[in-house]
Parts: sequence; C-alpha cells; structure tokens
Amino acid sequence: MKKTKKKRELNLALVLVCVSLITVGAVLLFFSFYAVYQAYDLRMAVVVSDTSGFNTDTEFINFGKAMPGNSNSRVIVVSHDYEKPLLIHFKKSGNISSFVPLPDDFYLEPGLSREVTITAAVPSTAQKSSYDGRLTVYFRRI
Amino acid sequence: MRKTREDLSNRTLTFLVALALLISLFSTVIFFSRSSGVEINAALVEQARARVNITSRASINFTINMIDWGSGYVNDTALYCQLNSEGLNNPANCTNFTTVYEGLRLENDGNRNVQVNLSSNNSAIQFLGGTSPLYQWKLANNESDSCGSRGIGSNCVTNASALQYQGAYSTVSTSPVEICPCFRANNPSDLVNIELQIRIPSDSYSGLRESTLTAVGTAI
Repeated sequence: MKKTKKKRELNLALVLVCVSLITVGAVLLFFSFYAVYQAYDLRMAVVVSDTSGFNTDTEFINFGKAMPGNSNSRVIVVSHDYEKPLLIHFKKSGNISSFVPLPDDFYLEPGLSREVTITAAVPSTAQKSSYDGRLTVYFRRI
Repeated sequence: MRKTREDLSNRTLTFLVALALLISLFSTVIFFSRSSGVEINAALVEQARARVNITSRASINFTINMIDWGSGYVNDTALYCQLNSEGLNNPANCTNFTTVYEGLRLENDGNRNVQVNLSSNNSAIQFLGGTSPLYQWKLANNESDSCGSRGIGSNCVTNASALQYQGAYSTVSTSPVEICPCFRANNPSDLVNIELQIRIPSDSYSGLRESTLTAVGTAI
C-alpha cells in the first residue's frame, strides 16, 4: 500500500516535470519564431467635423480634425539599436481603425531610422464624431 | 486487470517523458540556432532600445470634389465656364453646376504654432485639360490674426500680410509653397479660408475630375 502511494507520487512528479519541460519548450519555440523585442502602444485620435485642422502635438498620434472624404496624416520615426535587423510590424485597434490603413511591415537595420506616415482616411460616409484607437508598433526578431 | 492498468499508466508516462524530452530538445536547438548563440541575452543585458517618435509634422489632404460643383457642362455659345467657392456660377456660360458659397477651412487644432505649406497634386491643365484652363486659390484669415510672422522662439507676431495669396486668386502650385509662416494655435485666431476657382474650357476633359490639395503643418 505504502509502495503504491510512493509510486503514485513519483508518477505525479514525473508528469509535473514533463508538463514543465513541454511548457518551457513551447515558450522557447514561441520566442524563436515570434519574439518581440519591444512594442510601443500609441494612441490615435481624429475628430470628423465640418472643418479640417492640424494637430502637431506629439503626445500621441493626433490627426486633428478631418472632413468626411479627406485624409489627415502624421509621421512617426522608428529606430532601434539592437545588434541585428528587426522586423517592424504594426497593429491597430479601436473605432478609428477602419480609417487607418496599416503601413507595410519592413526590416530595420540597427542605428538607422525610418519615417512612417500614418494616415486617417475618413470616408465620405463617416458620421461627425470623435474616433479613437491605438497603433501598436512591434519590434520583432527576424 | 490491475497489472494491465499499471502497464498502461507506465506506457503513458514513458510516452509523456519521451515527448517532453523531444520537445524541449527540439525547441532548445531551434532557439539557439535562431538566436545565434547569445544575441538574445546580449540584447537584454546591453539594454538596447527601440524607439518610436511622433514628429511635430501633420498634413491634410483635401479632395477637391469636396467643394462640390457637381456635374454640368459649358454652354455651346461659351468658351469656358468659370466657378469659384464664393458663389460664382454664371448661367450664361455654365449649365447644371452647383453654386458653392463656402471654400475649405483650415484650422490649427493643436497647442503649437505651425508653419504651413500648401500644394496641389495637379495643375489646371492636368486637372481640367482643354484650352487655357484655370485652377486657382485665394487665402484669407477667417479669424483675424490667425496667420502672423515668426517672432522670437515659437511665437507669432501680428502681420496682416503674412498670409500669402490674399486678395486675388492665384494659380495653384504643384510644389509646396509656404502660405503661412506662423499659424496660431490659440482659439479664436486659428482659422484660415482657402477659396478655390476653376475655369473649365469648352474642350476640357469630361467625366469625374479630382484634385488633391495638401496642407502640411510643421510645429515651430
């Protein structure tokens, strides 16, 4: 009886070790293929109204005011000093995201910077309102 | 029966151990081969950084069917039809076009004074075609003193003539031209009108014509 209990405990320990090994392996695989060195989450906002207006503030990607059918753009500068080229990838969210086409992914060498234009293209059917969302810039290993 | 269960359990356990070893070995090899040894650690230890900066530059693209004169045609007896955003629409020359009473409004919606450039993506001949077409703009302060001269630092100085292309219509420029050296950010002095005028020759292009005006503001 005592022997069986000990065997069960040993089995349980083995199962735990196996689960840990599989988890570590999965995490390593994940990092190998999808490693994100860094990610920046930037707020985006546009107000659809009867006038068009700049907003050059740099706290977030503020497109200012846009008339339906027009487009407003902001420029961000992306750079890094990691030791190898990284893949720059973008994601968007929020109710502004249907107005903002995502920039294409690109590779960026260390020490170099690249300007990326982010545009809010407001459709002529858009309701006059405030639209908000987020742009996430991922620096991924290649 | 009990022995069979124990055998099955042992077999499952052996399979699990083998699988775990295989996955961990495989992933370790992949990880180190892809990260070229120590680079991922180096990246973390050296505190390399990635940066994203938002520039203080903003641009606006106005699509010029926004000032919507609609569709129409030049009368048979006329050489051209001239329209502008201040109500010009002569029925002796133009038929079916919509009379427009308001042009574009450009506002400095931010907290910083900006320098503004304006350009068009096409000229009169590219936009309208035909013989002697016109495509012109005219600017005005909608709210007084919206555009001034550059002062000390980022300040604007009152100057009624700082805004370019005031008073009379001028041909649009296809390369960026400075229209305002210091466009104020403070309400209620932050609004400029852009009026537009076109002359459509009788032999102009037909179909939907479109032009884009781009205003670029750079914080000063």
